[in-house]
Amino acid sequence: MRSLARSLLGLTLAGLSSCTGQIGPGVDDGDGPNPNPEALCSEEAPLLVPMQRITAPQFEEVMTELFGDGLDFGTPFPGPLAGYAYSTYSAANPIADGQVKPIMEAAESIAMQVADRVPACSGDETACASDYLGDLATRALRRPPTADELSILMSLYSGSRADMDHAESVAVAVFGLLQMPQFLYLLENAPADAAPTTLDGQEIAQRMALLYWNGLPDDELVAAAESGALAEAETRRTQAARMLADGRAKPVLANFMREWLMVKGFVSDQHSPELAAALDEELRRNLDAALASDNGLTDLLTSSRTWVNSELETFYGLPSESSGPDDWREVELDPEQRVGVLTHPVLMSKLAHGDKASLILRGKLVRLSLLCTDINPPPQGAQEAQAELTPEGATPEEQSQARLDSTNCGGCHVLMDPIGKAFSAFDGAGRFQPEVGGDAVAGNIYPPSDLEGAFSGPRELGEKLAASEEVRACFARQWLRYSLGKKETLDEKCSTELIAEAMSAESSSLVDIFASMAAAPAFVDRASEIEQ
Amino acid sequence: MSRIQKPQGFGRRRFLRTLAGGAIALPFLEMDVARGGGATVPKRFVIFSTGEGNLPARWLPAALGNNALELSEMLEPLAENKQYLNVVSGVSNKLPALHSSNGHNAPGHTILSANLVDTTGVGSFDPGIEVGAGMRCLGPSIDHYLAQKLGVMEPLNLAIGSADPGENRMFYKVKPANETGANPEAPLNADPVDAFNANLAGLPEGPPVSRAERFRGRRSAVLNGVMDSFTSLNKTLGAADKQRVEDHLDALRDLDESLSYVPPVECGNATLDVPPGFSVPGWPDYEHMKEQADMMVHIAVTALACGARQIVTLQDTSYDGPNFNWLPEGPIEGWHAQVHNDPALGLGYASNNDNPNLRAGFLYYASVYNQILTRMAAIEEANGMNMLENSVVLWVSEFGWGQTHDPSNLPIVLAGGAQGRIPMDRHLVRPSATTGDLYTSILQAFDQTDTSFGYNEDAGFNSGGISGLLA
Repeated sequence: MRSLARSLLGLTLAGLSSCTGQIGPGVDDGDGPNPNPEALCSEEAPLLVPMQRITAPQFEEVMTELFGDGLDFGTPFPGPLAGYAYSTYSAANPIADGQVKPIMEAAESIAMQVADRVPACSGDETACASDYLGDLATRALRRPPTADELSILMSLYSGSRADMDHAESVAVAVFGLLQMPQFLYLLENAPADAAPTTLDGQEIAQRMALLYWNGLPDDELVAAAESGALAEAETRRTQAARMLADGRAKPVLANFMREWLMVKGFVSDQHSPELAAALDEELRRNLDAALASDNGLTDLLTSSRTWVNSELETFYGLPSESSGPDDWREVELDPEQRVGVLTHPVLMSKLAHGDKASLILRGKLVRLSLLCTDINPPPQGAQEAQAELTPEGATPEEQSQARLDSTNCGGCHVLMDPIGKAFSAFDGAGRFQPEVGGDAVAGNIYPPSDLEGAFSGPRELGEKLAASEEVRACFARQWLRYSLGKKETLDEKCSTELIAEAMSAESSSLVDIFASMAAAPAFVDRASEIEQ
Repeated sequence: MSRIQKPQGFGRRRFLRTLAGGAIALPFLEMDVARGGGATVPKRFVIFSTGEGNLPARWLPAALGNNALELSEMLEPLAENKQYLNVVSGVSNKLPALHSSNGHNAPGHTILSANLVDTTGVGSFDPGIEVGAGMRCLGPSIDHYLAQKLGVMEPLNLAIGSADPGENRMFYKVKPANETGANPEAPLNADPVDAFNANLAGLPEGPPVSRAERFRGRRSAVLNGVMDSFTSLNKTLGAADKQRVEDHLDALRDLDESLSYVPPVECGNATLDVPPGFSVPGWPDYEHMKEQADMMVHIAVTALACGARQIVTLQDTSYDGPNFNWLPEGPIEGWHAQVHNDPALGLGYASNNDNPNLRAGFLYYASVYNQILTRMAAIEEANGMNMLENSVVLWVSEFGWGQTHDPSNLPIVLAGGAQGRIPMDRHLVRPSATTGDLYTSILQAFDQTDTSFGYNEDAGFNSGGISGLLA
């Protein structure tokens, strides 16, 4: 078998370039590659930020804030399109032919329930409807409605009143309100000329509320917006910290962390339902612990501390001390076997093809989520090409070597396979296989990365990643993408790196990085589409 | 069962004619029927029959494998109900080949009975006697046979066009076994006012209209309000975001256009909107047939929803018309001759598949069928399914290709799931199936044990049903 080093001799610069992107400007709202022109930049520039549509979790949270607990969301608001790294991406949440009907049905379902919650009116019903809808629209639209907007709502009310009672007629207006573009979009003024603009207080408040709470601005945030205080970065940071400490931030952060680690929606055919649920809960506890830590990334990537119940005691081969599935205890796993979230069974299982571990997917996670390396999607026919490279029955290592030896495949796979190889001791179900060698399976990080070089196994990889400013800045960049609903364009790449470095420079706390987004100029400044 | 008498001296017909041009509402009359049929939801059977076949080159869906259905051009009006459809291609009516007949009589007479014609008039078949317009079949049509098997009221047979079926004489009651004498014929009713009065008068209230139905009725108004609100967007948007908003607005317009307003069925307060100047259509132009069809669909669906009938047929029998004067292509003169692609007309088409008038006419029929489906699908029933999912709705014609008056490869569409007995959204290619097989499967979908239907004395007329139609 040829050595990896020898394989890499055949790897041309052009090959790497073809994997990490093409030279030239481009816009990519998806998770495809963005080229790295190695351009020099010295200061942050405002970014182009696409208009975002509220997401399904935001719809549900906003409905609860507007109308109270106990709503039935059985008629779902449309979720994001597949193929995007983050569910908040603007491009993942269009409103076109495939969405208008589900949105209408979701709005209708909520409105029909609202009919039972409309306050009784003892006086002039039209005045009652106007007052109720005016107050409701002020909250739902994150600003007072215009006269035209209120007039449309009142027309829906009065047009229904002949066939429906007062409450149902009000609910018909709500049915309309929940489909209005002013409600569905996070509307912000774009620059009218070539000069960048800055969001006003109301625009900042709605963006912060939807980002950190999936919800609506509360009174304090509204007051800060109205006073002009949100124009100041430190006020925004303080408000963000306050919001992140609120329970409403929890599902937002959990969602981001899972999308970042590509472990959203863990459904396993490799585990019993009870074990899958326990593993998922264990991961949740690990993520929560990292979020609560002052040194979250390090904990996340290097800690062997975890929580187990009776199911997981068996899974990890620990002494049976838990009384059952609901009895959780904190334990320290063998660091030779489990170290950090990258070796968590849920990740190992998600980054597999059924019962077959995938060193490609495992390496790809590290590249995309922790090193922010852009990797082109596989070319058409890649699967078939793999079949031609190796005989049937080849081991994953032999298959990997064949890819690396291939002129067509090696350029990209050198970025992933040598990292993913270090996780060879974990099978498709995330079970540790001691006969493979565990932490003794070495790997390598090849350029582009500041971390280039060999590592001895998952533990050293975790330590290397945890100590890296590049990784911390990449984490901040991922949050920036999630927050602004887009992946940066080629032209914005350099500026984005600077923004992310600034966001992650002052603290190793994940929550601090989340809060620093609000304080960043990129959160409030908007570039113009109009060229100077 | 008792009835409240109507006021003396003010007959039902006079009462209705007085109101013609407006909405007819009928007084409450006590009947033992209930919308939804109570705790056990009945399966309903509907036949929509249209004359002159279709345009096979445009009607036949592609055979995609795995029974996948992709609607053809002539079935496109059914798009909103595709999820409920089974298109069954290849089905043939083999009975006409046994008869002496012109191109219409034998195919028309036998299409719903799958049986021989009583050419002797004394309950027997003589192949040497040519089939005449007034003859009847030796066996019942599928609707009446099923009604008898289920022990439910006789089908409500409604005409679209004329009540005189002429050569398309396709509805017969069951002749009781060993009984001599003429088969009693089940007449069609072409008068929607009379049909409404006779079948929907005095239905009990039924459950109140639900909130969901009321909201559905407001959907279009709400969407229009939402579209109006786009003019109030007071933000400066970049080019890409402007395009997003435009796409959003376009999608809303499309959604609004696709919404069929389905008025809730109100059994106790059933009304019939009779357009001003309406009269029952008749030969030669069948004026007002569109209005008649709309009213008949309303009557049919209301009768089914309110428990007045479990089986309904809507039969277009006017093979020599109508003139479709409500279509942009209308009036279409000489429908029958155009179907034939009669050279005397000088139309110049290589085949009637190329005739836009025929496309328009057959697409209209598809739209009527779709109207039936949409209204049935909008009615939620006590078992958690909608009425279409609980039913079987057959669209059939006596010909495959009208140009050759060929009774093979009939344009068969079945909608509805018969309460889970029939998987939907499929195209079943069944080149050796017969009308006997089709009706056998329908009987089985209604939990009958029949293994054949109609004429079965020669091989090839029945093979136990349409393979794979039932779950």
